[in-house]
Amino acid sequence: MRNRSLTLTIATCVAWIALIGAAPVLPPSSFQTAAMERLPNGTTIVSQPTGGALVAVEVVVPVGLAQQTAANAGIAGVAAQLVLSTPIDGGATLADAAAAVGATVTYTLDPLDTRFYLEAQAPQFGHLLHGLVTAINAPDLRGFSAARAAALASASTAGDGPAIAALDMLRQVTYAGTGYSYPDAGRQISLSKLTASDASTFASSYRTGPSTIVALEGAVDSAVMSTVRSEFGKVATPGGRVRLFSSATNAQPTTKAQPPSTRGHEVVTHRAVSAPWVAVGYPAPGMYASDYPVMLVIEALLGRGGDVHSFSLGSANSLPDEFAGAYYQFEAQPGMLAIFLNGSDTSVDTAVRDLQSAVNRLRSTTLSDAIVDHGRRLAVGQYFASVSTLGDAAWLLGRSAASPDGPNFENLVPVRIARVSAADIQRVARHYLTGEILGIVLPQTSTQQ
Amino acid sequence: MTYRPRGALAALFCSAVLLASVANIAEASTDAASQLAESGTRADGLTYRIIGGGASPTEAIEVWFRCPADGYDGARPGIARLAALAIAEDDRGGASLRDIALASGGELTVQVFPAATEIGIVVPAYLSGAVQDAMLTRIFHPSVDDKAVKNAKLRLAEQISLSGLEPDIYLRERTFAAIFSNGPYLASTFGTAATLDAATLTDVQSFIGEAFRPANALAASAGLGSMDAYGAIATSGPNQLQAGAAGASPAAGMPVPQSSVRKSFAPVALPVDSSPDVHAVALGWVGPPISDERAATAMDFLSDYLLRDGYGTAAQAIAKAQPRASFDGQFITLRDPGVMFAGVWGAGLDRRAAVASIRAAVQRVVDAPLSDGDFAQASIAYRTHLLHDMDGPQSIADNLGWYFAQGAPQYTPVDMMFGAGVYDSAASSLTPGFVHDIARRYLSSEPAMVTSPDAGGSVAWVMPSKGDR
Repeated sequence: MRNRSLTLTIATCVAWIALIGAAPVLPPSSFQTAAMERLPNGTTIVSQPTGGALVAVEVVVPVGLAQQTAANAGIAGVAAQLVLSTPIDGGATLADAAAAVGATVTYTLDPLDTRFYLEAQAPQFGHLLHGLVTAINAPDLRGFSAARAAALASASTAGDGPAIAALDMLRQVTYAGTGYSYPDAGRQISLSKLTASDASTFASSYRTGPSTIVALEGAVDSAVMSTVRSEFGKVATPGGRVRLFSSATNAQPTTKAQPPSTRGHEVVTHRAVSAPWVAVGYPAPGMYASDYPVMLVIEALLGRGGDVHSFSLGSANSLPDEFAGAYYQFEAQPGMLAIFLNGSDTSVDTAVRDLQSAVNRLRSTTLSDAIVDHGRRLAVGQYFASVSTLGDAAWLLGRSAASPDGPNFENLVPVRIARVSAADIQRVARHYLTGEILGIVLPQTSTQQ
Repeated sequence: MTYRPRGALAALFCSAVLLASVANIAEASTDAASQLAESGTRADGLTYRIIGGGASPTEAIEVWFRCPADGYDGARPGIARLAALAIAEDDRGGASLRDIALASGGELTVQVFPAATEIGIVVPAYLSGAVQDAMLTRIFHPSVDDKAVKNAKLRLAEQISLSGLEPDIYLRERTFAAIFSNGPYLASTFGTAATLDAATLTDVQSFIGEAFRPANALAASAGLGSMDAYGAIATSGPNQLQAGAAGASPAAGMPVPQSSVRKSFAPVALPVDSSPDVHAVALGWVGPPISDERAATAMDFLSDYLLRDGYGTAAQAIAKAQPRASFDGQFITLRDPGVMFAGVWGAGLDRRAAVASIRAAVQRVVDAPLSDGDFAQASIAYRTHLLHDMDGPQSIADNLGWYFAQGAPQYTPVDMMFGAGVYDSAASSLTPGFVHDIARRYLSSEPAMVTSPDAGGSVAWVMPSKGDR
């Protein structure tokens, strides 16, 4: 990769500033007003009435990929699929009932959470929400065989693409000893041994009332709020929010500043590619860390390739075959910054050297005001642009509700990005951007095919 | 169907590009959220429609033109795309629209359809006023020079190359070329390497002067920055336009040349497919014009019921029978007539089986009306899908622009979000019997069919004759 952002001319930005004559101002509130409440059982409901004719809800339950083990890798997807295939009131499955009226019901697997998303017109919303809550609390295990079969099929091909293959290698090293080191789709060997009882046990982690976050967007009115309170008020199981990244028996990944020359692991695999692929990984702050806005600026300067969900696995997501640029996984603990270098137009060595040169510049140089300003503008813009749909907004609202800042977190992030300084960038680069891990995907030879 | 922006129709004819930019970030004391709905026409003839609010902290700022993609003489395929790209490359003062978008983390999009062209930018909401102002200045005060055209040509050359690799683009353009016997729907909106090479700066400037006029355009804006976007449209535009650049004449643009439609189509004898090569096939039925709002809405309903990916009966049949195939279908609402399009492609595709699946699904809605229960449920799904497809500033602005370009801005489904409007009324008026009547009227005849690799004669249509309109 060519780190084009660092070499971008700043003249364009200066010209644009001069053109408009005055600096745009970033308001303290960039989103519509949100409200948060907590039910007696501890469930958090956060709502942001944004109008329109659709109601969107994201139910965030506190168990995700990181809670898997070597023995059950893939179970997060199987359990989530069981929820979607649970019948509503003895009739059609939740997924089919939603599809019949054009509604959307999906799940997405995150490092620490599983997110269930429902979007429907108001008249259908209550019935489908009831079905979703019922299914989360008691997934119908009759769908287990089909869910496991689908997971096995997915796992057999999920790592075929060079981008996901490279990312999986970085995760194996970065998150060794945790459940997040396994491929999102799971492993065939573990999936093949899963039982319905295993899935039921895993899904029981969904039923932790105090840990569940319910984020509402769209046509949210008092009737919708009443329905939501009623449905989630029935969840009586007590318990603390289990957002541990690793189990007690697993090692917690650490981030330690290292000298610039330190190089960590190199992991190599082969795929059906015409030219080598390389992903370079660095540890990074999580999304609630104080250095998170700084790393967003660094990501922007290095050339962002896609948002945090670019590799998310879920019922409606497919993994990308290819990817280029920076990918910042800030939902994991610690986070990880991965730079994907597609070697089609240059040699891998050259691309890696270019990246290291750019990283060394971030670590050793106090960037000019123009470059810092450029990075901040890019990071703010990319942050806002990542929220384009009701689903995006519900995700952001849900993660904001879980932050120490509460719902206002979504407004604070861009403001904090705007305050990032050259010194911040250098400090964070020195702390995190070292000891890189290389995931290398080489073309298969004839004997490997 | 209601134009499905960035998805089907858009993805075919157009190509997206981006940009971004903006200036210093500071903190203001005001809340940026705005709730606004404004529409009207400025003194210079520019129509505008602003929809404020929503969940996204962005603003989609788009300018749509009614113009032929192949030029007013029909002899310059690709000229509209080249002109729009050249405006995006115009870097007066050192920053082009593309630069502005890129530097702000935003996105520039150029979409070109046979009879409409759009230049749009999605930016953070707090930048909407400045970007709206820059858009109006660059588009209606163009200073396109050799450098801008050269850069635009490089981009268009790349797009021409890439479009040839996209079966969906190929199928849509070929289907239109099969249905229409003249007018802008005959040629690819990308043009060819030869037409690109032949295009001159004068050609581009001439087209911009003819087509990109305020009175020929809609400024559509949607999102949480709409108050600022509206401010830029309402206050700065007319003054700028009085400066009188080449493309800023208050005169209305030239009308889009009429398109004639072939009346009937001969069946195509598809080959037996047994190779693993990529095969593609598409069907196109001539539908009602946009002026027949109730019929066009019924076709939208049928499109959803039959062709929506993952839901429609034909789409599901294809997915089940040939799971590796890609499917794309919708009713494309056009001035006259609309087109019901269904395309399938993929490695090893059995074209005969694919066409049979689509025809069988279509035949069922032609043969009998849906039961009241099925119709009621399908109606809910249809409305929900429509609303879902307008789930963001860009798709809202796209829908405003599309219906303006087709000459029926009041018919946009956007107003359905507020439970009102012409489209909502038409949708509410549908009955199983009426939808069945429309299916019989428009889906009973032999559709146009295009296929790749060509099946001995490729496109099979009845050559234009006195029967054509």
